[in-house]
Amino acid sequence: MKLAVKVIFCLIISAIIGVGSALAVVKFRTTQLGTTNGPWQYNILTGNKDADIYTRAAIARVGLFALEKSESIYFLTLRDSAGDRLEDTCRYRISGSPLTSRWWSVTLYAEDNYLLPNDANVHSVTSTSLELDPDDKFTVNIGPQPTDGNWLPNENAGKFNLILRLYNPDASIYNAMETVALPDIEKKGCK
Amino acid sequence: MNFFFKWSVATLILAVIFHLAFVTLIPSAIMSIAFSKLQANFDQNEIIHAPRITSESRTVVSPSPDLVYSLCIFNLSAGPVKLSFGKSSNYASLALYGDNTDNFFSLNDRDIKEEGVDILLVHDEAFKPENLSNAIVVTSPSKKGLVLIRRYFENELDWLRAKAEQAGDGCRPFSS
Repeated sequence: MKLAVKVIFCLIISAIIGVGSALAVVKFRTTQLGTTNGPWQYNILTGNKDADIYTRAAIARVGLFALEKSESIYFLTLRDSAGDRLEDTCRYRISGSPLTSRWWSVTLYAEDNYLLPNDANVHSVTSTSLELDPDDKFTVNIGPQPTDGNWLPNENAGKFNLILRLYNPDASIYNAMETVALPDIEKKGCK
Repeated sequence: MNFFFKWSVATLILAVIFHLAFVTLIPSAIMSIAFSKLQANFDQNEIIHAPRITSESRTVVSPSPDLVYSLCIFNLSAGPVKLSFGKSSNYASLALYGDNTDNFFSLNDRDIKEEGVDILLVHDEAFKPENLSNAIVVTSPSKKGLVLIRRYFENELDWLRAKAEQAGDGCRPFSS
């Protein structure tokens, strides 16, 4: 009887430690998906059957049903280019050169990884609808109020994140994921 | 001392086993939850044209608002399933996911003929149909999984085009 109590106690403690540490590690991995390029994180094994168990679990939490890299590449960021957490109390400017893929998009998600309700019903900007600057680069303003040009609303977004998706990316991106020029995210002011 | 050492080591080893097992099971568990949400309203082996993605959409995390989705929960327990991927005049892709979330097959509109393509999804590799010369045969690593067809639309008018093209997508049990 004493032995049974000890075994049950041992099982309960080990389950608490095992499951608790698993949840903590996977939660951490969702914020550290793998390699970084500026503020953007990516994992080349997203959607791939060769992904390790931690990558697979993290992707299932934040990007279930991702496509394999030959079809699409995903970059995620929770931070601006200075390393500060993206928040709805601040305005930002995303800028860069158009990316060489069949089409691409930047989508804003609330902290729960779902789209954010907003009166304008604007959730993303895409390469085919983007207004380019005179120098053929692009600028997207993120803030609570509409602006001239490209705009993504972040009102009541709390701590939000951005996903940059590239569909049928060019080989020049495939081959230089760590160094390819990705959009810069500059904080323009906070309340 | 020896008593505590033995029990501590046993607890630690069990904790590692629980840890690895739990992490391994997370994708399948999340997939099961997604299946449950879908199966509440739809049958297996039946094409579903999902409602437009909005801020109310909660079936899967991080949905793209720039895509229209067709999907099908496939179940190969009773035999193969025939999929149809219709033509598209803009980007479209068909992706197959196993019950552990692996994307084990995908193709896009540039990989297929203008009239679309049929795919025969099997679990038993021994199944070699003779009367499907124009279909691609794909072996699924699991009996259950998900078909996800994405169609890109650029604006409201293009959304109507993408919705109309969904009519060419299909998912049904195969009968020879």
